[in-house]
Amino acid sequence: MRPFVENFPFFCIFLAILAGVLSAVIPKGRIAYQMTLCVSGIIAVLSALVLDYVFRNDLSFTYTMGRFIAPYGNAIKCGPLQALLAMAFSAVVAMSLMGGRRDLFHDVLPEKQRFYFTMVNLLEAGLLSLVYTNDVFTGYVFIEISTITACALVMAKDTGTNLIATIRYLFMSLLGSSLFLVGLTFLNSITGYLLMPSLSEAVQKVAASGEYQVPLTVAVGLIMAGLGIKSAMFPFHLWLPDAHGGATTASSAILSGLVLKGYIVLMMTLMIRVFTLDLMVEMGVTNVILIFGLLGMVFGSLGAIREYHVKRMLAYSSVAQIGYIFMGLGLGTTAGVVASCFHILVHACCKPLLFCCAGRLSAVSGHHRSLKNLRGSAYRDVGAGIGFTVGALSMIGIPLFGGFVSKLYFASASLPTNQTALTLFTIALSTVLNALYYVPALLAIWLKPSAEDEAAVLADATPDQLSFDRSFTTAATILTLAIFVLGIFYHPITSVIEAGVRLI
Amino acid sequence: MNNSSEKQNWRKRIVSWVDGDREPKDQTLFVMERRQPRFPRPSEEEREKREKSHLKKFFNWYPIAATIICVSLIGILMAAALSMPTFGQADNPINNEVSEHYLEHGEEETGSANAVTAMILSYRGFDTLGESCVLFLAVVSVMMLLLRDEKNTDEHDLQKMRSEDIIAEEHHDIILKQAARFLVPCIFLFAIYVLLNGETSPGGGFSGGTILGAGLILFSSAYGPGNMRMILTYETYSAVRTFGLVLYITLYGAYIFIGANNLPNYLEGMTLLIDLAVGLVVACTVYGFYAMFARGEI
Repeated sequence: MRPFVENFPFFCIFLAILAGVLSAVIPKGRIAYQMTLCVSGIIAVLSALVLDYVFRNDLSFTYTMGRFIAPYGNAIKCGPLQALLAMAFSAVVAMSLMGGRRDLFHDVLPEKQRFYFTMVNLLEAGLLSLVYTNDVFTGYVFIEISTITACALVMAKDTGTNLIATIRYLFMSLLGSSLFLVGLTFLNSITGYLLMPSLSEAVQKVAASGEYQVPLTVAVGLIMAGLGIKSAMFPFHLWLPDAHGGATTASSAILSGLVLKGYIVLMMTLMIRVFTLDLMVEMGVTNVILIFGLLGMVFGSLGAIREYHVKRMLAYSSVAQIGYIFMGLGLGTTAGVVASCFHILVHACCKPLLFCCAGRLSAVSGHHRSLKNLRGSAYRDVGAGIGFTVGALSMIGIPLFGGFVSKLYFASASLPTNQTALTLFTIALSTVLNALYYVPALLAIWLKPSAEDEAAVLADATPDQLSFDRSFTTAATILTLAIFVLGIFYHPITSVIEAGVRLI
Repeated sequence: MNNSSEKQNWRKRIVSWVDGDREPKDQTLFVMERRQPRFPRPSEEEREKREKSHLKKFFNWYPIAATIICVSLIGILMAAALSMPTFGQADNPINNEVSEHYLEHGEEETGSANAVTAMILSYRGFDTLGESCVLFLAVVSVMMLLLRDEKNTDEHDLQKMRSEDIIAEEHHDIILKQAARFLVPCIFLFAIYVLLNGETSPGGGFSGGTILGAGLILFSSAYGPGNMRMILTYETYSAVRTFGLVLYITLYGAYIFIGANNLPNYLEGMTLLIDLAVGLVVACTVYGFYAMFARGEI
């Protein structure tokens, strides 16, 4: 008889699926919204209990999904890292929904709001399963779920431009999932397993014997490329600005902050648990990831500098931040992976905060999106202005904010490797580039425009958009606090992550 | 004088840098959106001309790039396939203790004689649950897009649809109707047979559900949406669909809980119920796609 707390990861996944299915028959959008918030809250609390249990006892456990033990039946595996990520992801889902609440009910038609919440709940289930899975095929199934739900979140706003963006996103995502599936097929036919522990043993045997060297390399390449496309790794990022920049605020926040991370976490799990970092370094996969990560850091920022549309700017900035995460993975050391995990958490707090604040700032400026028309908008909703400032400063990497700590960890992780100079230089360059687009944005929102410009912008804003938005302010406050916590009290969090990577 | 105007110019440029000097066009083009030069602002015609030439260039390069990528991908996959284990050999890595276990102990462990059913509903049931959710989600996203609402339908469309319905009422297709009268009951009967026998013979939830859905489609196209609504309204449809999936989730959840905690197994006959639940979900998916694409309503 296992301890009862070990059932919680499975409860979380099933609770999210059940809530998603039930939201489809709830007639009122607002009830579905409240249910989604409740479910996310419950999942966060359950995951926190699991985290406490696994971190205290310094263990990770495998939970069989059914009566049959591995390698015959499905299984999930939970350690400190998985529990931490599950907790953070579900909390951020709730915060994003709260932050984008007003835009959400404004952008999505009343009779379709319940479908929106179906998508959100099942997306959460998909993310949790991607984090917890111990079976590569389960990974694929929940990649499919995440793909469909993510596309539907973009589509929910239902304007022409959003539909085009959705189609692009769908095609790129499907390409990614099919490459992943082909890779899995190859891997399965040279090893004969799907469950990660036995797969790992078989892969080590194949790699040592050198019998199926070509299929193994191709399989690894396809799996990495597939997940890379889905998480907007640098050369495959062109779908992202349209999809994330055009969607309704809550969708942008969830997509940028979490969905990209789900695939990265799966990639990380595969790299460590199945292929092992040594084999990855030996095959040169880490070098490729490192190069693409570094390029993404620079080109994502360059793309953001060219944008005047505040949400598209934030979307390009996500490309750069994803580049950081890939850089950490590409270093091929445990320290690099720890830094990446920490950056996943930081970005999962910053980007939803920035998107929600940008949405709110543009709502108080009559839904204008250009920085020009956002001049002085921070004074119309000071909470959003402060939130945006905190998020932007954290993204640039100012001390005391979360982003600084992850940059510090990336830099110190790069020291023992051979690529120290290149990595440090790119981090410095990317920091400058980040500042080059976040500082003008900050100046723009905090500088008062001329009176007639402001009057012209305010003419488009309705009084009810200008009124105080309680749920947004709550969400922004919590996310802001989270960024400070990550930036100041980071040591306990990194020790959890270190334990998690060790026990992955 | 000269100095001050230069200073003015600098100020202006910094202000425009901070602001961004134009309202961004909120549009997604085939080609990447490009920034326009700040000074001077191009006229609308010039812009259009430039966009067109960019598009033309894009379409010149697109087939070439696509061919190169496809050919190299095909090359890589072929090379990998050539060095894979030969198909159907006895000592392939795929023929290991896992597949042996499925075939030898499948019946005694799960109670279903059909090895495929044993695998998808018992051994790897969590994946199948995920797949059922994918089906459910596919219909929900199609509904999100196509279900009639004020954004995607106007009065004109409704009028057109109504007049088409009236024409279809008046000129009904005798061959189709007579054939459907004979075929629909048979199809339903066959679907129920396949659904109930999934455990012991080839078949099960997925195939039975598809047959059931096909029967519904035939009935709907032969007798029209009016008669269809007598047996299946939108409310019934969503109730059945949700009920199927919720039944599946709760049963399977209980099954996992019992299995993982080594509790005594009270759920011997579960496979049949799960099969039926999957069947309902699949049938609703198949029919839902048809109805959404045909009329935008159930």
